[in-house]
Amino acid sequence: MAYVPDGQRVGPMFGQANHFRTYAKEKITYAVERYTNEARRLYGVLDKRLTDHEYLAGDFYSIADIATYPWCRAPERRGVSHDEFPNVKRWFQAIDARPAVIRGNAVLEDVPHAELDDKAWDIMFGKAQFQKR
Amino acid sequence: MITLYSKATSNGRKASIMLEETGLAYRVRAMALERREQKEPWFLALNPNGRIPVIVDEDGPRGAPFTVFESAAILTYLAEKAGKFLPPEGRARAEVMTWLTFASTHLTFTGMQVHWQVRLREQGKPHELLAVWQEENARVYGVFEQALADGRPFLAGAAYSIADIAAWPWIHRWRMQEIDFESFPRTKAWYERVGTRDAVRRGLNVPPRDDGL
Repeated sequence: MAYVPDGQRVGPMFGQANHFRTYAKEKITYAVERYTNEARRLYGVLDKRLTDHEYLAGDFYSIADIATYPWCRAPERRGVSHDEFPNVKRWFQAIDARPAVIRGNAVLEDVPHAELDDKAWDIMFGKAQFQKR
Repeated sequence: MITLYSKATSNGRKASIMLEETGLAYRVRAMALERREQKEPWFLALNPNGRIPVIVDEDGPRGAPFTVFESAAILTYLAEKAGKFLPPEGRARAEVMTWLTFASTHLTFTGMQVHWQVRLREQGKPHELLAVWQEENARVYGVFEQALADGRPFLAGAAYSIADIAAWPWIHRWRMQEIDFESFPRTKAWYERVGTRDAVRRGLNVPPRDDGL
């Protein structure tokens, strides 16, 4: 159980790292550094755990792995390489090869990403995201 | 006996309020976060993430000692141990897990970002993300407000649950977050309803803090 909420830390922090590195219109150095460093620290926590455990919660695949895996795709977006974290890399590759994961990754993959024009950016990241919904 | 490693912060209070609510026997080991005691090797052996709260239950599953970190996992573990504040199955349990997760992610993460920016402002440092995170925080309060719109007294429905315990300590810091609480009347009423519970009042001050926050 403790490792399911770990996914809950990984998601928001990795999301912020992605945002400030890739999407933010203004580069706020402190925010880029803080969220990138925190993403790197969390990779370290995962890597340490995976030194002597096959999966996050132990020797069995669980919802903790399912919650964390999608955020570990495309690590370069948050300035990290899986080569720096060999246990994460081994764990990631094992999950990435699971038939259900391959099928799950394909769900909605054929829906094209809309081009991020100013209006789309505003909806995703600007004022519009705070509107009551 | 359960040992709670904690400080009376918004995350630490989730665990201490829960221990008070369940009536399980526990003792407290106060953590000196200002000395980064939570990053010392002995503590990292309990929680590799180096954060409070952590509990060690000497009488864990099958009678063996068991360590739990992450506040939502602690709340779930204690609820199952005590048989309280989390229905065992079905729709009612899923409702609690939904709001427990929402409180543990959106509310907690956003609250942490607001507090970080407020501290930077207090130190006279740049805090250009403060308005962004305050706006997101108000949106999160709006989600609670909408959830409570059907007249439910507690976040997951008719019964008080670990979802309320996870959310309450962060909402307790609404002044620091500069939330206009009058704009969220149902959330304010919920906050006051939960805040009158004796166990909540006791759990707020574990381990004791003297600054009244």
